[in-house]
Amino acid sequence: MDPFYTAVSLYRKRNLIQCAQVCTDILQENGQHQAAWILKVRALTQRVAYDDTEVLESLAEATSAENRWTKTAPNGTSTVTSVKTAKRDKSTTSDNRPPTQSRPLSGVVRLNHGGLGGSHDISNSQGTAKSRAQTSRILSRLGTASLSTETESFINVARINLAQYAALSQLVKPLFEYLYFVQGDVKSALELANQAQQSLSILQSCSKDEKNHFWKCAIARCLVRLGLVRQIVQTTSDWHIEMNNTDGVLLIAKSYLIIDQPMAALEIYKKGLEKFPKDTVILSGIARIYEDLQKSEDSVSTYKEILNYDCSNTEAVACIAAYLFYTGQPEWALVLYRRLLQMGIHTAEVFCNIALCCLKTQQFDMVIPCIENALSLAAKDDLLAMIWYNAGHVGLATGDLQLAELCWKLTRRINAYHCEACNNLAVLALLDGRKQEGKALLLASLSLCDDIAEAKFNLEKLTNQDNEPVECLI
Amino acid sequence: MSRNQLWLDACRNSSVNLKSECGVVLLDVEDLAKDGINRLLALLVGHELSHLKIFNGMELQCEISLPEMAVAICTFSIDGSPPGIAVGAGSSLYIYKNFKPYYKYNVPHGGPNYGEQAEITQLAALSRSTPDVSCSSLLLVGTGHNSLLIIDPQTFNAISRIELPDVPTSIKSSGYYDTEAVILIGTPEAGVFILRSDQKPVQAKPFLPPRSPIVEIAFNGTTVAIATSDHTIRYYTLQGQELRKIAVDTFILTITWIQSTNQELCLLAVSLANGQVHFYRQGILVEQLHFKTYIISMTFGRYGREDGTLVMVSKDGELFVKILNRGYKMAQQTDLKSNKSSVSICKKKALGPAKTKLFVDQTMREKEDPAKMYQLFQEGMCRLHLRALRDWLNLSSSTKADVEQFASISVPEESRCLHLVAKLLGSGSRFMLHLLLQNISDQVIDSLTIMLQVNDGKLVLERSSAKISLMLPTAQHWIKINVKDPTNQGGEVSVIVRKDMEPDCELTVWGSIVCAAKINISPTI
Repeated sequence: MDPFYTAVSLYRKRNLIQCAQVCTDILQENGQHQAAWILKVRALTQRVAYDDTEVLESLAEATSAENRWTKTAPNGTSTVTSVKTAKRDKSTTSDNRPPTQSRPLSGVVRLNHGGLGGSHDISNSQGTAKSRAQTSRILSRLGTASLSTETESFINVARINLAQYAALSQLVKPLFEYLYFVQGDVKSALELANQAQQSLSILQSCSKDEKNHFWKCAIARCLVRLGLVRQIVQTTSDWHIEMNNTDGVLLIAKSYLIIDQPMAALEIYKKGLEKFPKDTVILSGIARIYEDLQKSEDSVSTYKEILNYDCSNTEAVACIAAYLFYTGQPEWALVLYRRLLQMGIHTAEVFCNIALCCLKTQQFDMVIPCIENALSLAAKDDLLAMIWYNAGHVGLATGDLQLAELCWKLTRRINAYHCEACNNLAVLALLDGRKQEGKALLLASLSLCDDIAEAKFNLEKLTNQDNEPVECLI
Repeated sequence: MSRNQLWLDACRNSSVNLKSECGVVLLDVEDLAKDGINRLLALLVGHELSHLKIFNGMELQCEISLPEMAVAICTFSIDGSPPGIAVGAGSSLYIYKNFKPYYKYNVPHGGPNYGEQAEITQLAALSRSTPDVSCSSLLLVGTGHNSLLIIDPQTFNAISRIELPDVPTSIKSSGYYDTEAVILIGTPEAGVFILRSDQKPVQAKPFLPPRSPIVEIAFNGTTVAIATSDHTIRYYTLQGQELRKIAVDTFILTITWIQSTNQELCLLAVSLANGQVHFYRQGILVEQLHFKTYIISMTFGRYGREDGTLVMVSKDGELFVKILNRGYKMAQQTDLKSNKSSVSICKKKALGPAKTKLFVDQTMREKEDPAKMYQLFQEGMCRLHLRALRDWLNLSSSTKADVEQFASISVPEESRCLHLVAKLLGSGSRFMLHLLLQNISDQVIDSLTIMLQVNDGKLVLERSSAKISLMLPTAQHWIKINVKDPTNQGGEVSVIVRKDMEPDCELTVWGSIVCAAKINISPTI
């Protein structure tokens, strides 16, 4: 069989490494075989390509101060301040119990790669710099990992004459993608894209066809990756609407979100919806923005709309279930989480949530088996700590304070920064009469997390009275 | 008539002379001849001679005398023949059919003294099953030996005997015995009891605790109205929950439910000692009737050919018959009483939001086998305990230093873990000492005590010690202590941070010094 044909069939079958190997052999024989070169580039790219419209975090974006346009944003227009104001409002009602404790604001941990979002009730997905750093490390690691599989460096970027490649329209796109995804060399990719666009505009001066948009989209991608979001946002043309797919819309909206302009991002999404109605990705973007802005009813109605079009959208099901759980309808939340199980999402988070729903709906015999399932499925430490935290709440609900204390101590042992567990242990210590320990734990909890309303409330109560504390919040 | 009247005057007859020796007349209406015309039965209770008068319309059809004191009357139906009358007198039950004596049934022996025969105290009839199955009914006989007998009037077998804590003085029933019947038994001292025929074994359960003496119980199948001698009528549900309370001015003589055939109208008629008869709808007075003397007995039912008839007998022996106005409009719900003496107690509001149907369906699962569910749950809890302990042990053995136990941490390490900064603020005779203690290690340090001591000079410290039980890694602890220097001579304060070996012991303190600082306060001019 013609080796090139073999390579193509291997590519079709997704045996990408073998395909690359065959292409390498072809290129060794014939260094000028452009088709083989392109195929090899494509094969290597396909191995590591991901949907970068979903990834919201990158180290460059997080730390770039110039990305914040206005420091003081009006109410309801900024996700960062909306989080703070929401928590602030809730903690000022010091006499009543704050309605939502330091719970997560989202039903789903939004992983990178836009993959299946397992959900759990307590997550630190909002606003921890740690997770952002982790994701960018993963991204950069991808670049290095792929290089390590190549014994010889296939494309040495420094030696490529980008302008030359830019002129070759068949080669330039695969090369761009290779540089962007595989090598992670975004700067060169950006340069290449710019040059390609220039050369294209020289060739076809006024025609607006898809290729133009491809390069605009490509440039936008690179800019977002590099954190130079201003440049994208300042372009006024609607190229993202004219594209045939939703990538442009998603990228522009993402860039608005990076600079903390959720209302503008919402506008972009809505315009995109006009062009691509019923698109669940755009709808989920809208729903996420509503959630960030604390407009939970709007968010839930958008998620319900998503479910109309795609009834197995896990993010939608998970978010609606979380909303129902917290608004006092645990039976419906249980139905939805069981649906997630039926869809095949057997994760620790789902089992943990089912356990909590069962507890609330008095299906007592199901609670512990679900927790045990969750414990055995939990791989990461953070998750394990959270499941033990929830198990502590199960103990508390049944009045078994010893079990609750044990579980929360375990939580703290596994994850030393778990502020809620600290607060709860403090309350248990105070109930027991160990005032000093309780006070210390409360201070510890506050030091771990500034916003935790319960700890502040408890400490206030404690310092106001020298006698036994009257009420404390768990 | 322009007025929207509830009752239409049918007739009144003062010549019937329904006056009894004891002053008690018991009434009932029934179609005794199976000719569609209901007769009125009036039992005039006498000490030695009782009369049973049966009226057809306003005419006396027949009169039967009984040689002893009859205390109870009821009519019961039999399959295939006209209904019978049962009169309870002494310890026998006199059964009359077709206006003629039919049978005399002696209530079986009962009670601890087998020599005695049980005296009948009350009678009632209960349909055996739905009308399409059979028309026969059962007799409920209350005896003086604290028991209720259920007797089949065809065979005179006692179907069951239910023991009660007290003598049953009133028996009211509703429903069908074969499917579901509710029998309410009122006793003078033990309160009211309820019996359900669908619960096996059939036993009387307490329904209401004893309160003020019960005058009468009226039961219409869903609501129980109990009139007591403290001038109140209380409405109860079948579950025993009090719905409302009506207070009246004077003694209540008798009450009866009035229900129209299409169930639209549901009133309670109350006969009072001042000659008035009040009609209440859901606790609100809607109509009043006035008579010269008080009404001692009332019954509502079909009389003659007329549905919805209220037959009343007054103290003087007069008979009043009133017909319910079918065209009566119940539009206005105005309270006729000007003073708010009728109090209605609403049901308690449900706590929290109403549960959805799904929630209720899910809780049904618990009802199926609750014991097994809880057993599984308890087993699960034990397993969880074990797992938590096991994981705890695993974690404890895997980490090198046990952070929760203080004994394993050696002293020299600790001194490198704590950072103490002391600042003196103020000038003049009052100072503030700021102490900042920071845990710069990555372990948890606990049971620390900060001790302050005045080495030199006459300084007054606000506090001389402070305890810190727990310091997480990188945690900071601020302590502010006021220092007064009354003599302005200055002095020296030494601050010692110590780790306690026995943190909970209050009397003796012993530990090792972790860090210390000396603060020199210079004399102020």
